[in-house]
Amino acid sequence: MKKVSIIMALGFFFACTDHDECHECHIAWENAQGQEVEVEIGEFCEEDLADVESNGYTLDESVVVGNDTVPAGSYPGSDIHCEEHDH
Amino acid sequence: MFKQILFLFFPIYCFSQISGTVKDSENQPLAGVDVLVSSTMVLTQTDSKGQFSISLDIPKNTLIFFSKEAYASKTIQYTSENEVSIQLNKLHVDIDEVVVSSINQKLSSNQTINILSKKMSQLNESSFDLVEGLSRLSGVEQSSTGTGIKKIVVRGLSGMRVVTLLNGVRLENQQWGGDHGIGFTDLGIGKVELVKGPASIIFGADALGGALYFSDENYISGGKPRSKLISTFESSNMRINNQLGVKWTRKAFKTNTLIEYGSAADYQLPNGLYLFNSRYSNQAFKTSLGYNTDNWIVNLRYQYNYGILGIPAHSHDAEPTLEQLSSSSQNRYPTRPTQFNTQHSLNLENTFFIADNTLNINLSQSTNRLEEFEAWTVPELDITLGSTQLSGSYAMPISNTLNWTFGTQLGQQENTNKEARTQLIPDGSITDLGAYSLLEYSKNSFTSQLGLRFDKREIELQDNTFSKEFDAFSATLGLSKKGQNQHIRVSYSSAFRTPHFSELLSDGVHHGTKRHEIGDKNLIAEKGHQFDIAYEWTGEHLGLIINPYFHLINDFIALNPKDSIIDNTQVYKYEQVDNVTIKGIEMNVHYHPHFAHHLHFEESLTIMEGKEGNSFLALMPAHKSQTLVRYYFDKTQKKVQLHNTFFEYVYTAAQNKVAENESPSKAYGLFNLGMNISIDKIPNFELTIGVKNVTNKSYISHLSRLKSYEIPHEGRSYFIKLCSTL
Repeated sequence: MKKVSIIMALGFFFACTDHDECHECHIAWENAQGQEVEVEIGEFCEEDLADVESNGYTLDESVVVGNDTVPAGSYPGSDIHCEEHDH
Repeated sequence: MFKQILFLFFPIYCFSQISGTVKDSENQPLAGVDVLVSSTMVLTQTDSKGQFSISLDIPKNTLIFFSKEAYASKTIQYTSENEVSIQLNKLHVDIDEVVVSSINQKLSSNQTINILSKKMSQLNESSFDLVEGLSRLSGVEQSSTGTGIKKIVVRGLSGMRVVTLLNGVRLENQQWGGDHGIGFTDLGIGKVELVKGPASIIFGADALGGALYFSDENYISGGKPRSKLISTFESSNMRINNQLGVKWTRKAFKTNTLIEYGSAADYQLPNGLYLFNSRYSNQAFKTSLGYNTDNWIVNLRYQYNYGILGIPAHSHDAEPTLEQLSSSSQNRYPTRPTQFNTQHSLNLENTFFIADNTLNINLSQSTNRLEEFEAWTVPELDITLGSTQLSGSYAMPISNTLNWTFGTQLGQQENTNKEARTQLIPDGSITDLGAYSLLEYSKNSFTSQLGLRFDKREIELQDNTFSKEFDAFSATLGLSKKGQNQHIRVSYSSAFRTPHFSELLSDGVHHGTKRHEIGDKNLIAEKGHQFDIAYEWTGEHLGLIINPYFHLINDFIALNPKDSIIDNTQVYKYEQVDNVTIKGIEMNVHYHPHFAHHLHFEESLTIMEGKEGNSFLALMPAHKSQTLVRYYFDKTQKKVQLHNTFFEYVYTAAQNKVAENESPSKAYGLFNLGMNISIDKIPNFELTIGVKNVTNKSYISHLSRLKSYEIPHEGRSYFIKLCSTL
């Protein structure tokens, strides 16, 4: 029983680390009604992820999402939301 | 060679010894009695013949404390005798166990202030979470953001108004934030003492609502090194937690070293779904090294805590639904938003015994870094708080009945922001200087205490754009009278709390709380005055405590919601209000029926109300009663020995006395049960199993930070705890 407990303890000490650093990101744009409209901008990994979250993203053309049109232009890092990835 | 080096550095290195026998009232030896030398924190136990021996220097006048479950504890003051004989009498009812306080080294029976003391082993019997365990004490509640982020609420006050100390050192870890938890676990903690109400006289600024004083586990008295492994599991959030500790004492040197790792997944709601991002994990390490001679005790302690705490109920929608915030699958991997909380504390405490006088000098340094991430790589908030504290006190008897203690405390806190998207509070420093004097008169069973304190605090921004000084006087007056079966304590105490950086200067979105918070540079210090009466009566089979109190707070700083929105976030403003009162009554009853010696009933009741003028104060805990029924089994020769089983019912009343813009809460009752078992073939092994929230009740505490989203707490949860000592 003691051995089992020790193995359990050691196992849990070194378990559960997160290695995958890629995430699907979108621009979160607020429409006139105050609702958030999302424009998918793709998957970003490691340095690219850090870059888009720090410096933002430039949307070259306006994008129509449902009844809303998200205008082209530069969006700051605070408008970029990157989702949790699957494990 | 090793000894020669020791003699070189510690020329007064010598040994005296105390040994003795502990027997019961029928003159039979008592085995397993804890023998604690209070000042050196050395603990040993009596053997099967009731005998004990401590081969360590013991400072003169130190209290030696003898205790065993179901027996009335006894304390002696060590003079110079080498052999003692102690008798412990059977105790049927244990309503307020007599203990030696780590705060002032006094017996609880002689305290004039309201200090509630509990062993951690008593608190975490059916709860393996520090804050949840503490919330079992009457007058104590928890304010939670899921299961990972929890704060202590004492008589309705929390955060910056409750000071937390670990081995005498104040823990400074950004308690201003509603979503900033206590920041450490129960690793290696042996005892907690709770001062309910103003406690500035001892602890200085901010101790307006009370103080939590945690003390590390005791050292062992000698012999082979001893190790302990504690593993716990809870089913609701699949939480596993492991603590491993080693204790070793050789002559005058003592050391305890412990490590911990814990991990919890999203917790399961009563409807079977999981609250997304309520996951968390923690790591901790602590070590202490103690040395003592007969006139000097020194302890060097280091502690490290690291927590990764998911912030649940995060959504960019204005009114997210429970379905949007929960998930059908359970996950424990860190996601976003998340807090990363790192704490390092180093503490050197010295006690010198000079004739009949005692000098304490305590020096500590701590660093706390709090990072909040909503993005993956760029923090929203990244603040480091460094704290240096120096305190000294001198206690001296003036006569046989009169004792005088005076002391001083110096403190410096530096708040530094690192690069992040927001800077909610600016870079700056807080400098504290305080001095106090306590006079205590004690004769026969009567004790009185008078204390006065002056504090000066300066708050200054690093860029010199803001600077403010606060001066405050605090006082305490307490009377205590103990009779054969009765004990009454009456006390008045005052305290103050200066506004924090966040209350003076914040202007921005606090993502953890989803508020745009605006401070006010003109805020002044809060002042609290509490009157507290505690009456205790103990009979052979029944014991009770009744403890009414009244707390008046002037210039109370409230965070009030405003009718405006900035960047899609509701604006909250810090404002000062007068004439805040909190009154209540706490009661405890312990009944042990004569006809059923194995059965114990314990009942506690907490009733309180907070008002701001004629309106009710926000976030006041609802009335609560806790009923605990415990049955002790006789010791048998069976392979599996059942020690005791317990059944607990906690009823929390509806909270309808709410502030403007605050919603009421419904009543709820929770059943918990469990049992303690040992196995004959595995010595020094204990197993605790049980169920929390047996009926899978869906409930929301009035103080839950997820209440506005109508997110309930955990559903039914099975738990198991394995404890192995080698």
